[in-house]
Amino acid sequence: MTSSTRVKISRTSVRSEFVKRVNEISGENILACYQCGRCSAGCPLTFAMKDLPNQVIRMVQLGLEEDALASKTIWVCASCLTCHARCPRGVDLSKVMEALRAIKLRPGTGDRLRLEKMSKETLARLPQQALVSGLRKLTG
Amino acid sequence: MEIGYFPGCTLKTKATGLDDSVKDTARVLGHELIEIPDWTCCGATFSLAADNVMALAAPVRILANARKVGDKVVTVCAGCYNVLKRANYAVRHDEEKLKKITDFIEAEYVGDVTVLHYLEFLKNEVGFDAIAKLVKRNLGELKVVPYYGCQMLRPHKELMFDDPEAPMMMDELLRAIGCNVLEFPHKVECCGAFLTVCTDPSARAGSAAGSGAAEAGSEAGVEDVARGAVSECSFTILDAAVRRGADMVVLTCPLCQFNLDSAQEEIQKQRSNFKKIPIVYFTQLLALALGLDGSKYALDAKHHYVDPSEVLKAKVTA
Repeated sequence: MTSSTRVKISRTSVRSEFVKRVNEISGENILACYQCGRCSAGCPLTFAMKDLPNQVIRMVQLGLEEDALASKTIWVCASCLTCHARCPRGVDLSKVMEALRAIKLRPGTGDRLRLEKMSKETLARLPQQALVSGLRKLTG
Repeated sequence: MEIGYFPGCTLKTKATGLDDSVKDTARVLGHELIEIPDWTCCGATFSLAADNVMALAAPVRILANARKVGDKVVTVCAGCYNVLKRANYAVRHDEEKLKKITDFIEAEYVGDVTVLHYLEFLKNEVGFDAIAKLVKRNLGELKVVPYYGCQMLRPHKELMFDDPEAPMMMDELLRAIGCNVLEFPHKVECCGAFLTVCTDPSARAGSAAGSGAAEAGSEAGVEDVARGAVSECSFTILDAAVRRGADMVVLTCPLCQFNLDSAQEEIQKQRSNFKKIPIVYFTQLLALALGLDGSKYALDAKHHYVDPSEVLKAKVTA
Protein backbone atom coordinates (compact mmCIF):
# COMPACT_ATOMS: atom_id res chain seq x y z
CA MET A 1 0.00 0.00 0.00
CA THR A 2 1.42 3.39 -0.95
CA SER A 3 0.01 6.83 -0.25
CA SER A 4 -1.48 7.00 -3.74
CA THR A 5 -3.18 3.59 -3.65
CA ARG A 6 -6.97 3.70 -3.71
CA VAL A 7 -8.46 1.39 -1.14
CA LYS A 8 -12.04 0.43 -0.67
CA ILE A 9 -13.14 0.82 2.93
CA SER A 10 -16.35 -0.77 4.00
CA ARG A 11 -18.20 -1.36 7.22
CA THR A 12 -17.40 -5.05 6.89
CA SER A 13 -13.65 -4.60 6.51
CA VAL A 14 -13.33 -2.09 9.35
CA ARG A 15 -15.40 -4.27 11.67
CA SER A 16 -13.96 -7.54 10.42
CA GLU A 17 -12.90 -10.57 12.41
CA PHE A 18 -9.33 -9.68 11.51
CA VAL A 19 -9.40 -6.32 13.34
CA LYS A 20 -11.07 -7.98 16.32
CA ARG A 21 -8.42 -10.70 16.33
CA VAL A 22 -5.53 -8.20 16.28
CA ASN A 23 -7.12 -6.27 19.15
CA GLU A 24 -7.64 -9.49 21.06
CA ILE A 25 -4.14 -10.96 20.64
CA SER A 26 -2.37 -7.65 21.18
CA GLY A 27 -4.62 -6.48 23.98
CA GLU A 28 -4.33 -3.01 22.42
CA ASN A 29 -6.99 -0.67 21.08
CA ILE A 30 -5.73 0.00 17.59
CA LEU A 31 -8.32 2.70 16.93
CA ALA A 32 -6.69 4.83 19.65
CA CYS A 33 -3.89 5.61 17.17
CA TYR A 34 -4.40 8.98 15.44
CA GLN A 35 -1.51 8.52 13.00
CA CYS A 36 0.90 11.16 14.31
CA GLY A 37 3.90 9.13 13.14
CA ARG A 38 6.10 9.38 16.21
CA CYS A 39 6.52 5.60 16.19
CA SER A 40 7.99 5.70 12.71
CA ALA A 41 10.14 8.73 13.52
CA GLY A 42 11.79 6.89 16.41
CA CYS A 43 11.98 3.39 14.93
CA PRO A 44 15.65 2.35 14.54
CA LEU A 45 14.84 -0.18 11.79
CA THR A 46 12.97 1.91 9.21
CA PHE A 47 15.96 1.66 6.85
CA ALA A 48 14.93 -1.96 6.27
CA MET A 49 11.18 -1.24 5.90
CA LYS A 50 8.99 -0.41 2.93
CA ASP A 51 5.89 0.21 5.04
CA LEU A 52 6.56 2.36 8.10
CA PRO A 53 5.18 1.17 11.47
CA ASN A 54 2.36 3.75 11.48
CA GLN A 55 1.36 2.65 7.96
CA VAL A 56 1.00 -0.95 9.14
CA ILE A 57 -1.22 0.27 11.98
CA ARG A 58 -3.29 2.18 9.41
CA MET A 59 -3.73 -1.00 7.36
CA VAL A 60 -5.09 -2.75 10.43
CA GLN A 61 -7.36 0.18 11.32
CA LEU A 62 -8.87 0.01 7.84
CA GLY A 63 -9.22 -3.75 7.97
CA LEU A 64 -6.79 -4.31 5.09
CA GLU A 65 -5.95 -7.82 6.22
CA GLU A 66 -3.97 -8.94 3.19
CA ASP A 67 -1.77 -5.84 3.10
CA ALA A 68 -1.02 -5.93 6.81
CA LEU A 69 -0.17 -9.62 6.87
CA ALA A 70 1.98 -9.40 3.73
CA SER A 71 3.98 -6.43 4.99
CA LYS A 72 7.60 -7.33 5.64
CA THR A 73 7.68 -4.70 8.36
CA ILE A 74 6.20 -7.19 10.84
CA TRP A 75 9.30 -9.37 10.39
CA VAL A 76 11.77 -6.49 10.61
CA CYS A 77 10.41 -5.23 13.95
CA ALA A 78 12.91 -6.19 16.67
CA SER A 79 10.47 -5.46 19.55
CA CYS A 80 12.74 -2.75 20.99
CA LEU A 81 9.65 -0.81 22.19
CA THR A 82 10.98 2.62 21.22
CA CYS A 83 7.66 3.23 19.42
CA HIS A 84 5.65 2.34 22.50
CA ALA A 85 7.82 4.55 24.72
CA ARG A 86 7.06 7.55 22.47
CA CYS A 87 3.42 6.96 21.51
CA PRO A 88 1.29 9.85 22.81
CA ARG A 89 -1.80 7.59 22.71
CA GLY A 90 -0.23 4.80 24.72
CA VAL A 91 -0.52 2.23 21.94
CA ASP A 92 2.01 -0.58 22.25
CA LEU A 93 2.93 -1.16 18.60
CA SER A 94 5.26 -3.99 19.51
CA LYS A 95 2.17 -5.92 20.64
CA VAL A 96 0.35 -5.17 17.40
CA MET A 97 3.34 -6.43 15.40
CA GLU A 98 3.43 -9.53 17.62
CA ALA A 99 -0.28 -10.12 16.95
CA LEU A 100 0.26 -9.90 13.19
CA ARG A 101 3.20 -12.31 13.41
CA ALA A 102 1.09 -14.63 15.58
CA ILE A 103 -1.71 -14.72 12.99
CA LYS A 104 0.85 -15.81 10.38
CA LEU A 105 2.73 -18.25 12.62
CA ARG A 106 0.07 -19.95 14.72
CA PRO A 107 -1.31 -22.23 12.01
CA GLY A 108 2.12 -23.86 12.20
CA THR A 109 2.94 -23.67 8.52
CA GLY A 110 4.63 -20.29 8.26
CA ASP A 111 7.84 -20.68 10.27
CA ARG A 112 10.38 -18.02 9.39
CA LEU A 113 13.34 -19.77 10.93
CA ARG A 114 14.45 -23.36 10.64
CA LEU A 115 17.32 -24.47 12.82
CA GLU A 116 17.88 -27.58 10.70
CA LYS A 117 18.70 -25.35 7.76
CA MET A 118 21.30 -23.35 9.63
CA SER A 119 24.95 -24.25 9.36
CA LYS A 120 26.64 -25.88 12.34
CA GLU A 121 29.10 -22.98 12.45
CA THR A 122 26.31 -20.43 12.76
CA LEU A 123 24.55 -22.45 15.44
CA ALA A 124 27.78 -22.76 17.39
CA ARG A 125 28.49 -19.05 17.02
CA LEU A 126 25.13 -17.61 18.06
CA PRO A 127 24.48 -17.04 21.76
CA GLN A 128 21.66 -19.14 23.29
CA GLN A 129 19.70 -15.98 23.96
CA ALA A 130 19.59 -15.19 20.22
CA LEU A 131 18.47 -18.70 19.25
CA VAL A 132 15.76 -18.96 21.90
CA SER A 133 14.34 -15.49 21.24
CA GLY A 134 14.63 -15.98 17.48
CA LEU A 135 12.62 -19.19 17.70
CA ARG A 136 10.03 -17.56 19.93
CA LYS A 137 9.60 -14.66 17.54
CA LEU A 138 9.80 -16.42 14.21
CA THR A 139 8.17 -19.82 14.60
CA GLY A 140 4.67 -20.94 15.51
CA MET B 1 24.95 -11.48 53.10
CA GLU B 2 23.52 -14.19 50.88
CA ILE B 3 21.15 -13.33 48.05
CA GLY B 4 19.43 -15.34 45.27
CA TYR B 5 20.99 -15.12 41.82
CA PHE B 6 19.57 -16.08 38.42
CA PRO B 7 22.36 -16.30 35.80
CA GLY B 8 20.31 -17.35 32.74
CA CYS B 9 21.29 -19.61 29.84
CA THR B 10 23.84 -17.47 28.00
CA LEU B 11 25.93 -16.78 31.09
CA LYS B 12 26.70 -20.48 31.38
CA THR B 13 27.83 -20.79 27.76
CA LYS B 14 28.89 -17.75 25.74
CA ALA B 15 29.06 -15.16 28.49
CA THR B 16 30.99 -16.92 31.26
CA GLY B 17 33.11 -13.80 31.71
CA LEU B 18 29.96 -11.97 32.74
CA ASP B 19 28.82 -14.72 35.14
CA ASP B 20 32.22 -15.08 36.81
CA SER B 21 32.80 -11.36 37.18
CA VAL B 22 29.36 -10.85 38.73
CA LYS B 23 29.88 -13.54 41.37
CA ASP B 24 33.47 -12.57 42.17
CA THR B 25 32.82 -8.83 42.41
CA ALA B 26 29.82 -9.45 44.68
CA ARG B 27 32.05 -11.55 46.96
CA VAL B 28 34.68 -8.80 47.19
CA LEU B 29 31.86 -6.42 48.13
CA GLY B 30 30.72 -8.72 50.93
CA HIS B 31 27.81 -10.56 49.29
CA GLU B 32 27.44 -14.17 48.25
CA LEU B 33 25.25 -14.68 45.18
CA ILE B 34 23.54 -18.05 45.55
CA GLU B 35 22.24 -19.60 42.33
CA ILE B 36 18.55 -20.27 42.86
CA PRO B 37 17.60 -23.98 42.80
CA ASP B 38 16.53 -25.83 39.67
CA TRP B 39 16.61 -22.84 37.31
CA THR B 40 15.93 -22.99 33.58
CA CYS B 41 16.03 -20.59 30.63
CA CYS B 42 13.49 -17.78 31.16
CA GLY B 43 12.38 -17.83 27.51
CA ALA B 44 14.80 -15.06 26.45
CA THR B 45 12.03 -12.79 25.21
CA PHE B 46 8.79 -11.73 26.86
CA SER B 47 5.75 -12.76 24.84
CA LEU B 48 3.88 -9.69 23.64
CA ALA B 49 0.71 -11.62 22.87
CA ALA B 50 -1.89 -11.00 25.58
CA ASP B 51 -3.32 -14.51 25.22
CA ASN B 52 0.01 -16.34 25.49
CA VAL B 53 -0.14 -17.53 29.08
CA MET B 54 2.16 -20.49 28.43
CA ALA B 55 5.17 -18.21 27.92
CA LEU B 56 4.79 -17.05 31.52
CA ALA B 57 5.26 -20.56 32.91
CA ALA B 58 9.08 -20.61 32.76
CA PRO B 59 9.71 -17.17 34.32
CA VAL B 60 7.07 -17.69 37.04
CA ARG B 61 8.58 -21.08 37.88
CA ILE B 62 11.98 -19.34 38.20
CA LEU B 63 10.45 -16.70 40.49
CA ALA B 64 8.80 -19.40 42.61
CA ASN B 65 12.19 -21.10 43.00
CA ALA B 66 13.83 -17.77 43.79
CA ARG B 67 11.31 -17.32 46.62
CA LYS B 68 12.80 -20.41 48.30
CA VAL B 69 16.08 -18.49 48.69
CA GLY B 70 14.67 -15.11 49.67
CA ASP B 71 12.44 -12.22 48.68
CA LYS B 72 14.95 -10.78 46.20
CA VAL B 73 16.62 -12.21 43.12
CA VAL B 74 19.55 -10.65 41.29
CA THR B 75 20.11 -11.03 37.57
CA VAL B 76 22.49 -9.24 35.22
CA CYS B 77 21.44 -10.24 31.69
CA ALA B 78 19.16 -7.50 30.39
CA GLY B 79 16.98 -10.11 28.61
CA CYS B 80 16.43 -12.13 31.79
CA TYR B 81 15.75 -8.95 33.76
CA ASN B 82 13.11 -7.92 31.24
CA VAL B 83 11.40 -11.32 31.13
CA LEU B 84 11.40 -11.95 34.90
CA LYS B 85 10.27 -8.46 35.76
CA ARG B 86 7.52 -8.32 33.14
CA ALA B 87 6.28 -11.79 34.07
CA ASN B 88 6.21 -10.72 37.71
CA TYR B 89 4.26 -7.59 36.77
CA ALA B 90 1.81 -9.63 34.68
CA VAL B 91 0.94 -12.09 37.46
CA ARG B 92 0.85 -9.40 40.15
CA HIS B 93 -1.82 -7.58 38.15
CA ASP B 94 -3.85 -10.58 37.03
CA GLU B 95 -4.98 -13.07 39.68
CA GLU B 96 -6.56 -15.39 37.16
CA LYS B 97 -3.32 -15.67 35.18
CA LEU B 98 -1.34 -16.24 38.37
CA LYS B 99 -3.66 -19.06 39.44
CA LYS B 100 -3.63 -20.67 36.01
CA ILE B 101 0.17 -20.71 35.91
CA THR B 102 0.82 -21.79 39.49
CA ASP B 103 -1.72 -24.60 39.05
CA PHE B 104 0.02 -25.67 35.86
CA ILE B 105 3.57 -25.61 37.22
CA GLU B 106 2.38 -26.97 40.57
CA ALA B 107 4.18 -24.33 42.60
CA GLU B 108 3.29 -21.74 45.18
CA TYR B 109 3.91 -18.16 44.16
CA VAL B 110 2.12 -14.93 45.06
CA GLY B 111 4.22 -12.39 43.19
CA ASP B 112 6.32 -11.42 46.22
CA VAL B 113 9.85 -11.64 44.80
CA THR B 114 11.62 -8.41 43.85
CA VAL B 115 13.72 -8.72 40.70
CA LEU B 116 16.89 -6.65 40.87
CA HIS B 117 19.38 -5.92 38.14
CA TYR B 118 22.95 -6.29 39.43
CA LEU B 119 23.38 -2.54 38.84
CA GLU B 120 20.40 -1.81 41.11
CA PHE B 121 21.81 -4.22 43.66
CA LEU B 122 25.19 -2.46 43.60
CA LYS B 123 23.61 0.97 43.88
CA ASN B 124 20.99 0.22 46.54
CA GLU B 125 22.44 -2.62 48.63
CA VAL B 126 26.17 -1.85 48.39
CA GLY B 127 26.37 1.81 47.38
CA PHE B 128 28.57 3.31 44.67
CA ASP B 129 30.46 5.37 47.26
CA ALA B 130 31.39 2.22 49.17
CA ILE B 131 32.54 0.60 45.92
CA ALA B 132 34.67 3.64 45.07
CA LYS B 133 36.57 3.19 48.35
CA LEU B 134 37.55 -0.37 47.41
CA VAL B 135 39.07 0.49 44.02
CA LYS B 136 42.59 -0.96 43.68
CA ARG B 137 43.51 -0.17 40.07
CA ASN B 138 43.55 3.07 38.12
CA LEU B 139 41.07 3.14 35.21
CA GLY B 140 41.32 6.89 34.73
CA GLU B 141 42.89 6.65 31.30
CA LEU B 142 40.06 4.48 29.99
CA LYS B 143 37.47 6.40 27.98
CA VAL B 144 34.20 4.48 27.99
CA VAL B 145 30.64 4.89 26.75
CA PRO B 146 27.88 3.03 28.64
CA TYR B 147 25.29 1.31 26.47
CA TYR B 148 21.97 0.23 28.05
CA GLY B 149 20.03 -1.05 25.03
CA CYS B 150 16.30 -1.83 25.16
CA GLN B 151 15.58 -4.70 27.49
CA MET B 152 16.41 -3.17 30.84
CA LEU B 153 14.65 0.12 30.05
CA ARG B 154 11.43 -0.57 28.18
CA PRO B 155 8.57 -0.65 29.00
CA HIS B 156 9.29 1.78 31.82
CA LYS B 157 5.88 1.33 33.47
CA GLU B 158 6.70 -2.31 34.19
CA LEU B 159 10.48 -2.19 34.68
CA MET B 160 10.86 1.17 36.48
CA PHE B 161 14.60 1.10 35.82
CA ASP B 162 16.16 4.56 35.96
CA ASP B 163 15.16 7.14 33.33
CA PRO B 164 14.15 5.27 30.15
CA GLU B 165 15.39 7.95 27.74
CA ALA B 166 18.48 9.09 29.68
CA PRO B 167 19.59 6.38 32.13
CA MET B 168 22.61 7.19 34.31
CA MET B 169 23.04 4.22 36.66
CA MET B 170 25.83 2.52 34.70
CA ASP B 171 27.46 5.92 34.04
CA GLU B 172 27.54 6.55 37.79
CA LEU B 173 29.05 3.17 38.62
CA LEU B 174 31.73 3.49 35.95
CA ARG B 175 32.56 6.96 37.21
CA ALA B 176 32.74 5.62 40.79
CA ILE B 177 35.35 3.04 39.76
CA GLY B 178 37.42 5.74 38.10
CA CYS B 179 36.65 5.39 34.38
CA ASN B 180 36.55 8.41 32.11
CA VAL B 181 32.85 8.18 31.19
CA LEU B 182 31.80 10.01 28.02
CA GLU B 183 28.34 11.33 27.21
CA PHE B 184 26.64 8.92 24.81
CA PRO B 185 23.38 9.84 23.07
CA HIS B 186 23.04 6.35 21.56
CA LYS B 187 22.90 4.56 24.90
CA VAL B 188 19.21 3.52 24.60
CA GLU B 189 19.22 2.60 20.92
CA CYS B 190 18.44 -0.95 19.68
CA CYS B 191 21.25 -3.22 18.39
CA GLY B 192 18.87 -5.35 16.30
CA ALA B 193 18.44 -8.00 19.01
CA PHE B 194 17.23 -11.43 17.86
CA LEU B 195 17.31 -10.38 14.19
CA THR B 196 20.91 -11.55 14.42
CA VAL B 197 19.59 -15.07 13.66
CA CYS B 198 18.68 -13.79 10.21
CA THR B 199 22.26 -13.27 9.13
CA ASP B 200 22.71 -16.81 7.86
CA PRO B 201 21.24 -17.24 4.36
CA SER B 202 21.02 -21.01 4.85
CA ALA B 203 18.50 -20.44 7.64
CA ARG B 204 15.84 -19.13 5.31
CA ALA B 205 12.74 -21.16 6.09
CA GLY B 206 11.43 -23.39 3.35
CA SER B 207 14.07 -22.55 0.77
CA ALA B 208 16.21 -25.14 -0.92
CA ALA B 209 19.76 -24.04 -1.61
CA GLY B 210 19.88 -21.63 -4.53
CA SER B 211 16.18 -20.95 -4.82
CA GLY B 212 16.14 -18.31 -2.10
CA ALA B 213 16.54 -15.25 -4.29
CA ALA B 214 13.82 -16.32 -6.72
CA GLU B 215 11.30 -16.57 -3.91
CA ALA B 216 12.08 -13.17 -2.46
CA GLY B 217 8.69 -11.80 -3.45
CA SER B 218 5.72 -11.16 -1.24
CA GLU B 219 6.43 -14.16 0.96
CA ALA B 220 10.13 -13.54 1.45
CA GLY B 221 11.58 -15.24 4.51
CA VAL B 222 12.59 -13.00 7.33
CA GLU B 223 16.23 -13.59 6.58
CA ASP B 224 15.89 -11.77 3.26
CA VAL B 225 14.11 -8.89 4.89
CA ALA B 226 16.12 -8.44 8.04
CA ARG B 227 19.57 -9.48 6.86
CA GLY B 228 22.04 -6.69 7.55
CA ALA B 229 19.71 -5.13 10.11
CA VAL B 230 22.01 -5.91 13.03
CA SER B 231 25.15 -4.61 11.34
CA GLU B 232 23.35 -1.42 10.29
CA CYS B 233 21.93 -0.79 13.78
CA SER B 234 25.29 -1.67 15.34
CA PHE B 235 27.18 0.63 12.97
CA THR B 236 25.11 3.64 14.07
CA ILE B 237 25.92 2.93 17.71
CA LEU B 238 29.60 2.00 17.27
CA ASP B 239 30.40 4.84 14.89
CA ALA B 240 28.97 7.33 17.41
CA ALA B 241 31.13 5.76 20.15
CA VAL B 242 34.31 5.92 18.04
CA ARG B 243 33.63 9.54 17.02
CA ARG B 244 33.35 10.49 20.68
CA GLY B 245 36.82 9.07 21.20
CA ALA B 246 35.75 6.07 23.31
CA ASP B 247 38.19 3.20 23.92
CA MET B 248 35.35 0.75 24.49
CA VAL B 249 31.60 0.30 24.77
CA VAL B 250 30.41 -1.02 28.14
CA LEU B 251 27.16 -2.95 28.54
CA THR B 252 25.25 -5.62 30.42
CA CYS B 253 23.41 -7.80 27.88
CA PRO B 254 25.06 -10.85 26.24
CA LEU B 255 22.95 -10.44 23.09
CA CYS B 256 23.95 -6.78 22.69
CA GLN B 257 27.55 -7.81 23.35
CA PHE B 258 27.44 -10.46 20.64
CA ASN B 259 25.75 -8.17 18.12
CA LEU B 260 27.91 -5.09 18.66
CA ASP B 261 31.11 -7.15 18.74
CA SER B 262 30.56 -9.64 15.92
CA ALA B 263 28.81 -7.16 13.58
CA GLN B 264 32.12 -5.34 13.23
CA GLU B 265 33.35 -8.03 10.84
CA GLU B 266 30.53 -7.24 8.40
CA ILE B 267 30.80 -3.47 8.96
CA GLN B 268 34.50 -3.56 8.10
CA LYS B 269 33.79 -5.33 4.82
CA GLN B 270 31.39 -2.58 3.81
CA ARG B 271 33.20 0.43 5.24
CA SER B 272 36.96 0.18 4.90
CA ASN B 273 37.67 3.21 7.10
CA PHE B 274 35.63 1.88 10.03
CA LYS B 275 37.60 1.81 13.27
CA LYS B 276 37.00 -1.22 15.46
CA ILE B 277 36.08 -0.84 19.13
CA PRO B 278 35.98 -3.52 21.88
CA ILE B 279 32.72 -4.33 23.70
CA VAL B 280 32.95 -5.37 27.36
CA TYR B 281 30.63 -5.95 30.33
CA PHE B 282 30.55 -3.40 33.16
CA THR B 283 31.25 -6.21 35.61
CA GLN B 284 34.51 -7.05 33.84
CA LEU B 285 35.73 -3.48 34.41
CA LEU B 286 34.45 -3.63 37.98
CA ALA B 287 36.50 -6.80 38.55
CA LEU B 288 39.62 -5.08 37.21
CA ALA B 289 38.99 -2.00 39.34
CA LEU B 290 38.56 -4.11 42.48
CA GLY B 291 41.96 -5.69 41.88
CA LEU B 292 40.76 -9.13 40.75
CA ASP B 293 42.80 -11.23 38.33
CA GLY B 294 41.81 -9.90 34.88
CA SER B 295 42.84 -13.10 33.10
CA LYS B 296 39.89 -14.93 34.69
CA TYR B 297 37.10 -13.00 32.98
CA ALA B 298 37.31 -13.77 29.26
CA LEU B 299 38.79 -10.38 28.34
CA ASP B 300 40.69 -11.87 25.41
CA ALA B 301 40.66 -12.57 21.67
CA LYS B 302 39.14 -16.02 22.20
CA HIS B 303 35.91 -14.52 23.55
CA HIS B 304 35.74 -11.37 21.39
CA TYR B 305 35.85 -10.51 17.72
CA VAL B 306 37.52 -7.24 18.76
CA ASP B 307 40.09 -8.09 21.41
CA PRO B 308 39.86 -5.72 24.42
CA SER B 309 43.10 -6.92 26.08
CA GLU B 310 45.55 -4.53 24.40
CA VAL B 311 43.76 -1.32 25.30
CA LEU B 312 43.16 -2.62 28.83
CA LYS B 313 46.83 -3.47 29.20
CA ALA B 314 47.82 -0.01 28.04
CA LYS B 315 45.31 1.99 30.05
CA VAL B 316 44.58 0.11 33.27
CA THR B 317 47.40 0.56 35.76
CA ALA B 318 48.09 -0.73 39.23
